[in-house]
Amino acid sequence: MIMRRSSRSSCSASPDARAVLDRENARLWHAGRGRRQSETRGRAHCDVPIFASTAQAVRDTGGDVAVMFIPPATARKAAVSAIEAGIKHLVVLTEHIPAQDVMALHAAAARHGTRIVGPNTAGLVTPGECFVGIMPAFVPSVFKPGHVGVISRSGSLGTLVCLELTQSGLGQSAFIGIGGDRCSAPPRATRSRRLTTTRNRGRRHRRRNWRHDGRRRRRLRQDDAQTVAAFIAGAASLPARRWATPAPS
Amino acid sequence: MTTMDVIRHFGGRPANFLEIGGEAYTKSAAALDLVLSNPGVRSLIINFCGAFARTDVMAEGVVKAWQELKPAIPVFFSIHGTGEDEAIALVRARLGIEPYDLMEDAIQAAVRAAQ
Repeated sequence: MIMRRSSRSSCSASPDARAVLDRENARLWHAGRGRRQSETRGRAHCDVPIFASTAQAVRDTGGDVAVMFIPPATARKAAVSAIEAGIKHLVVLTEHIPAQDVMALHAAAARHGTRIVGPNTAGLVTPGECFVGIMPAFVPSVFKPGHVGVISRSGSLGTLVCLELTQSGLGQSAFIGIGGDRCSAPPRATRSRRLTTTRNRGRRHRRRNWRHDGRRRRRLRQDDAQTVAAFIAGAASLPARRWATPAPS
Repeated sequence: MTTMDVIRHFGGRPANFLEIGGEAYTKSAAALDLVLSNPGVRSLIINFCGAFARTDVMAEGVVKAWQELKPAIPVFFSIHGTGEDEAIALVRARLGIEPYDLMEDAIQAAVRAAQ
């Protein structure tokens, strides 16, 4: 799942949440959940129009991407309504959604062919093109268009990795935060057939081929060797403080 | 977490680890107070990699607390992410400290200062 310049996105948010979509590159609207329809209809927040529901927004704008800034208790309802409204890509930033609710929304997504990123994701960045979520996508020292795909559970560590790539002159093709929750959806995010390889400074990096020009698209072949570099933080933490360390037998 | 790994990589030993990301990012003054209450701290590394957390807000808290508490230990900054320009300008103007461009350099300097 790659955010494109042409993506049309909605932001279902708490009334005080700020919009963090790139308004120059993507069309954005709010679905004003948590307020009565009469209060939200025809209004705008951060110069972005508010619709009464995601379904209404999809009907009026033809949008296909939604991002959720919804508290855990009501996230399931919001997600399912976005999925049923025909949203194709749903970015769920909320942390601590009950596992049962996460399973329910994954099931709803599977029924409707919706792709979910998250929950508890920092979002997606296609440097120089599009951005959904809470990453510092517009900070030039962190993100710059390049050829290394970055997949991370953590927003902060993802930021650090992208920063290091930019500082070393490489940049990123795309960043995907797969979410830190137990039932997040990494398989769909990372198993995309739109993976390709590229030579860059003598090393091979996994990259997402979202920069194809529409005429030519390389598909990942089985014999395409890829270099995947992994970084796991926490080597200096005390063994007793490590999360989910199995007890030695 | 990575900060601790890099401290160890350069031969240092973390006295404290305190994360002020997420919901706590407006509380860097309280965080600084807490870390400095440990007499074992000989130098301080402040490493911000702000995504959701705004580094300018965190830097403001740190600068305020630093001027209030006037600690006798050296401090080293590495600031990147949301609001970094404002944060770096703030640290430069109010503390007269130049934040490091590379996290590794800041940590190496902090480790050297502690030895």
